[in-house]
Amino acid sequence: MTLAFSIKKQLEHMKLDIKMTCEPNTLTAIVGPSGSGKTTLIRMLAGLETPDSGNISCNNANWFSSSPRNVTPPQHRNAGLVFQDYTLFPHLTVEKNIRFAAVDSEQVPELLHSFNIEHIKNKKPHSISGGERQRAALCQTLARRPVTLLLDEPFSALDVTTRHKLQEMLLELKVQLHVPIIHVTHDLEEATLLGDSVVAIEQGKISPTWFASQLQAVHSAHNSAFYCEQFAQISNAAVCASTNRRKTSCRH
Amino acid sequence: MFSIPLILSAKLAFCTMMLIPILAFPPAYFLAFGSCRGKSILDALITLPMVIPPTVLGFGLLMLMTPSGAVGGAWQTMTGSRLIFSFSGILFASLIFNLPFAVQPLRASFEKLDKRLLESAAVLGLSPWQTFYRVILPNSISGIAASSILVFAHSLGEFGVILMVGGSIPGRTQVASIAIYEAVEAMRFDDALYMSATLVPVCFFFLVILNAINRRQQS
Amino acid sequence: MKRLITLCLALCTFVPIQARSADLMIAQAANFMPAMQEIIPAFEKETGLTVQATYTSTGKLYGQIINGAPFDVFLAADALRPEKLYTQQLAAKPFTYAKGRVVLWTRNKNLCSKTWQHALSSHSVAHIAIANPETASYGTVTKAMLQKLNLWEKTKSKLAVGQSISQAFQYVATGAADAGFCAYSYMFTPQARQGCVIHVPEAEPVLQKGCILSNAPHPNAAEKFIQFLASPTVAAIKRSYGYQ
Repeated sequence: MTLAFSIKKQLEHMKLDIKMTCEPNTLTAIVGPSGSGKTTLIRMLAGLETPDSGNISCNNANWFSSSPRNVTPPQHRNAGLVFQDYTLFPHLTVEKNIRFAAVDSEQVPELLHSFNIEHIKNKKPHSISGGERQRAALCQTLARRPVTLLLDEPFSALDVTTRHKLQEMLLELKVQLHVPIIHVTHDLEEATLLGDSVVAIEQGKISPTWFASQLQAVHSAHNSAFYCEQFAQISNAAVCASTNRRKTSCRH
Repeated sequence: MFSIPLILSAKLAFCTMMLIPILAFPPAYFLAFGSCRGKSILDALITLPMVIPPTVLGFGLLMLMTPSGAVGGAWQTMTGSRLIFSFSGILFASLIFNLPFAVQPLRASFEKLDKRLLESAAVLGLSPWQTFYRVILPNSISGIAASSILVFAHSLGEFGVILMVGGSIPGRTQVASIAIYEAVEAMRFDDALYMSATLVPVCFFFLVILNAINRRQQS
Repeated sequence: MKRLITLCLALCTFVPIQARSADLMIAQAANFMPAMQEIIPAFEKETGLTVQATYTSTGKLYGQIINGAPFDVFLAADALRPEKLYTQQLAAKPFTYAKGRVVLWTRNKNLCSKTWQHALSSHSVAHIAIANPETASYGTVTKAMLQKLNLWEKTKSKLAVGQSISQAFQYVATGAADAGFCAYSYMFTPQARQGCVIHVPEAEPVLQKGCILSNAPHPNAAEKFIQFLASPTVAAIKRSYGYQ
């Protein structure tokens, strides 16, 4: 399963123009300042917004093309999407939320167990913690067996400890899921930690220079030697892939 | 004897409350989530029964509901009986003049829903119809309750329109408000008092509940 | 905002002045309105006085009068209310100013040749309009007649009650009711000519009584008007509207 897209969309203050290919079993982290268009990008992939022109396809399925015009509605894309703070339905308990989305309801107990949310399965979303909520949200999204996983700042509202736990959980999940994962975040550290490849966007475009300067600012305190080595390469590179925290390679 | 109009009023109010969702949900949904085109026109059309005088609305309905009128004619073809001067007739009138009172609270509660809920539902594969009854409705309970109670209380008290189309037939169209009016006109003040003394506390009770719901909705 | 308030105040003061400017205030039962609208100009022409009339149901006018409404003359659609005012010493002795007749009116041409009894029992007649027997004298007279002829119980289920004789007429005119007991005086309107009139001689005439109110602000003008009502001019107008 491969998610490939080339999207153009005129936004209020800028023009979004992004072209990418995401492979299965790969987490592509997209970083950028707020207002850079990264949330719009993920919404267009999920089908909640329509690009002006371009193409989106997942595997053999065409999700969007401008000519001939085809817009597959979100219902028929089966793109798993987790928002920052809102995916669960407030009127349903955690278990019912997952059952709601599950392809195979017999799997629900197993899912509850593997996401460590069995103890809160009878609680409603407003009475559980932020970390539990996001675990349940991820569980709900994956219960539907999506063909891709789109994460829009899923851990941004959490405290540091919880965030780290969930980041680790996501790293484990990545190995098991055979789908491309796109993870949008404004946190460069998180992006480099989780991402097999990290893409920076600024003003609606893939921006190697922003990436480099931010990287420098954030990481100058530690690991500076390692990152400095990278700047030379990524200054004109669109995508920087870091297979893990230590070893890094880039492709153009 | 005096209880018949009161029971009839309660029956009318109850039937209106039960049937009005069929009429009120689609426009409330469209007004809350629909695109801009035609929205203000629909909004005005639905609010119209609220602002025009009941006698004007009543006369319009009378014309529609006669055997030669559009609605009355269709009803007669379908059921074989007359719509005018029947319980179904005042129920139809009641549904029309209650429409704005049902649509506005529903629309407000639909609009208050987090749009991301609907987006979540769409991404999870729910069709708009499934989204409506599995996500929107369960999360609009208080709006639905508010709308139902408002409609119930308003139908209990409605006078002008039913005066125009009812024909004051005991047991069929002579609801409490009409019976009270007639009693006052005929100077049977005791009867009027008896019926009013029943009607007023009932309406008051429902409005207290309505306020409680509205306050809970705001918090 | 200031201008709006000024405008409102101006309107508030303007309206009562308008109302007070008439030389004679008449409380007229609505059924007699068409005739009265011809009688008043004739009276104004003859005397030079200005008349203002309020047209609504007898019951409402009665209510307004006992609560002190400043009318000079009360012209009811029945005998009951003026008599009541008289016994309460709120009015001078009542007089009959018109006699109305009950007719059966229908827009269904098939019924035109039938007697009113046949028309009532006809299968094509589902609803018969009647004025409220409790509050409208045409209704009272009709009900009394039907009871006398043992027809009341039979026709009761077909009756659609209008709150006034004009609502009963309106029910037939709009087609809501198939026939209706109406006032003969309504039969002279262009609308009524679209249907046909079946006379109901069995019904008592409806005596319309009037009286001068004890607290009349303009007793002299009221007296003049009462005399005018007995004149041949008015008799001709009344006849042309179906009154005796």
